[in-house]
Amino acid sequence: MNILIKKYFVALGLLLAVAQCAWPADENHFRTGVTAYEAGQFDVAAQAFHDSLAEQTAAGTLLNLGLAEWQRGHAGEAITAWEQARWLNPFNRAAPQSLLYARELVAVNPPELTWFEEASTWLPANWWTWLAGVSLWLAVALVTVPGFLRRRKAGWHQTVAALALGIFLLSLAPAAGILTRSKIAIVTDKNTALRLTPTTAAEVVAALPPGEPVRALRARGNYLFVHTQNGNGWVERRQVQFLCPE
Amino acid sequence: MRHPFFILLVLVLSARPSPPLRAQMLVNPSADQLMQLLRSQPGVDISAPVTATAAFDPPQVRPGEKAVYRVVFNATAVSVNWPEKIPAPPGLKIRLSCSGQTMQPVGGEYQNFATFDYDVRADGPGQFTLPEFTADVYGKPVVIPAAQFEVKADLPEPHEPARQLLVEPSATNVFVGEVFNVRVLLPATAAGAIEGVSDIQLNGDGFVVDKNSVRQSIRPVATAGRNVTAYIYETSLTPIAAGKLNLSAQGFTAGMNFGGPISITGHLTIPGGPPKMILLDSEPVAINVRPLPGENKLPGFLGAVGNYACDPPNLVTNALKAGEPVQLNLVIRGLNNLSRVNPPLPPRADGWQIFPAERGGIVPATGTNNPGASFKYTLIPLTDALRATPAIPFSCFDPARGRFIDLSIPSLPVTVLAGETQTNADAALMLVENSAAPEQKTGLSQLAAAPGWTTASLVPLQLRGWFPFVQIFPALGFAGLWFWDRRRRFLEQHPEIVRRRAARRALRREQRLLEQAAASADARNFVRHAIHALQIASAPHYPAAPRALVCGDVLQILTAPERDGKSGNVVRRFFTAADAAAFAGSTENPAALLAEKAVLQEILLKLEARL
Repeated sequence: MNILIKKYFVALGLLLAVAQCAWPADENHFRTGVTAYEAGQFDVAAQAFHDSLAEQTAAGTLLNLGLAEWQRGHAGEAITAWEQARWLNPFNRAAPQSLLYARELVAVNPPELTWFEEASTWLPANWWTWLAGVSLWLAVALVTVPGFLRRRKAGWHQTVAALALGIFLLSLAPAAGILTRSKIAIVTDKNTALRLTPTTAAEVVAALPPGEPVRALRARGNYLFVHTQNGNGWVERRQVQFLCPE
Repeated sequence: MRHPFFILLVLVLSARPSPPLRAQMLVNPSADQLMQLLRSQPGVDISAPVTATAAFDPPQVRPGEKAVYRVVFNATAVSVNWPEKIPAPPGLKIRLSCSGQTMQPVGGEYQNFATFDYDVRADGPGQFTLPEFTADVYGKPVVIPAAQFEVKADLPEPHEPARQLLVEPSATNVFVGEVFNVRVLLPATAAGAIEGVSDIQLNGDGFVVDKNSVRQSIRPVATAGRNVTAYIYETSLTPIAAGKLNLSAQGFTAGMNFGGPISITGHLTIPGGPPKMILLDSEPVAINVRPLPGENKLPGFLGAVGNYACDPPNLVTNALKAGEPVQLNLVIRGLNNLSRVNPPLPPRADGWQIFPAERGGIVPATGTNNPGASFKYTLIPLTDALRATPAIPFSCFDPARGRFIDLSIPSLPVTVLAGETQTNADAALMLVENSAAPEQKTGLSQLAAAPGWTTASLVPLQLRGWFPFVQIFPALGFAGLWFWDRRRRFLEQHPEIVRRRAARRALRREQRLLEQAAASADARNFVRHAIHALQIASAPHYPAAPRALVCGDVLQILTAPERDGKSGNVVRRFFTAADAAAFAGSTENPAALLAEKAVLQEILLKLEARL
């Protein structure tokens, strides 16, 4: 059994090494962006960070992209990038700090989150799903595999199974919160019209400032029916950016 | 005949006549009254088969005159997948002008009706037929019937053109943020009948409609050089984008249902009966919206555009104690948009803690003063060294003068006594906390030095296509383990199945060796493998080890006729030959038994079938 475990870890290590070689992290664009930002060339910096993100989505790149967009006067894009950075790595305090500052300045509120969405912000978005999946199968394995292998169920089997099941149940709500949070988008255009119907000539019920969070409820053509803190209405898809772009 | 005076009536009518209520459901008396009310309302019928009607309104016009091609579905507007282009006959200029949805009572329930209006014109006379076509509604094709339309140069009088709404803005050249009024009119028909308009929408890019300032009236107005009685809907608009913007209106004719208070002036005829709910629209009106000047902007400008003035600020008391709050009242007066005026932001002033203003409601007009919006600030002096409240910067843009006006709230003299509960040292500490700390906490963060945590996509795992399949693997693994365990337990309880299966495998192996021995005319090996095959095929019936079986055991497996017949004889001969070779030391070649191969195989087939 020990030999099997060793073989497993060796195989896993090889797999990770191969994955690392197959997906090299090219930081050239990132470095270019940092240099341009420090030189005050924010347009160049923003483009470089966009290029870097096209190669690999990274929390630090998103944070820097937000800073560059903010300096260019694009509050909506900046807030979106910082929200995405927080989505990817909620342990880094830099993105929330910038978000707090930016929202105070442009006078927009953060998204209204339900309790399970709030809980989902405690860990990186995908961790909750992995946690739920791994804990579920671990609990199932600890309950069933000893029986299959004709081994006596030890006390620790049941303890760990109960613990895993508890973790699974606790992670369900945040995993659902991740799903609902993925419908949140940020307004990017100035005076984005919130319309009564999904047509260009429809009545405008409110004007949304850049950085305003909206929650997409459904889509029709180029329009999204969104819930905002100013009520519900339709906005053009190109005027908002989702936290999780498809 | 004109009357020398007007009659002013104010009618408060319900929005629409409700259809007969369905039988009241039995409800729990202790249940929520709102739920009872909701349950007692007529339902919305969405199960009726969807049909479409199409017609030109009016069906006959003169060349160049406007007609409306109107398609109505008994379905919601969002369910209709309306085609981008419809099959218009040549010579007809056709353009989608508006679409809308309304709800009407039909047979005790409400039904949704979606309407699509096209502006239709023809330059020359002719008969036009817009052919039948289909549109998807709720995902199923619905046929829109063909419609006829005639353009004649000499139409008989009286000829009434297509009914449409009129939009009359109070100004067509405004600044961004400047409020202006808009009237939407529906003139009376040629017969003098007038009706209200419901679900009015003002369409246009870059306007915010103030729904709180809506007024309705019916009165004579001068339009197109003649006096007509018209239904008038008035509201206020605020442009939020600069440029040449188009403004139009649409709404459903609503008969005598006005949906709110209405002022009626003059003699007129309002037809009764249920409303026809016909979707009408107006020709667009161009509004030139100018941007606010970028230069000479004053501090404290928060988007107030209009003719505003501030009353002198009122401090509740000017004898204060350090640490105790005091209220500062402010009234901003103006004609328009008072509910949307943002109060001046409290400045960051040394020694003062100032909370953002609370809206206090609208102050009525007095004498020559306009109405105003009142605001209350709460100020807390943090030290007794203060001698005046801080000035609060505020300004507005006056569109009439075309420049920014300074309306800053001046500072007011105060006397601050040392507080009983707070020392100046406490106040100084609070001052430091209030002024210095937030600056540090709320600044932009530093650049990240490295890309940090990475991911392939920000899309949640649950929404990625491969994720469910990954979850299927462990499920399949556990299911496979379960089936394997179940089968194993079954076989443990039925070992004969295992024995027979093993015997069949061994028998096939011996038969192959038997064939090889027969092919090479190796009689001794042929007999040996034949005996092994017979023993293997018979062993599971006892059960016993195949080697332990003797001729009599094999014969027991055969039926009595077989045992006494040729099969039994062949079995005996094989065993005799084998026994002679094994126990009597016979060197006789049993080649004669090779000839019995066919019989032997027949016996083995029978024995295999009995396994």
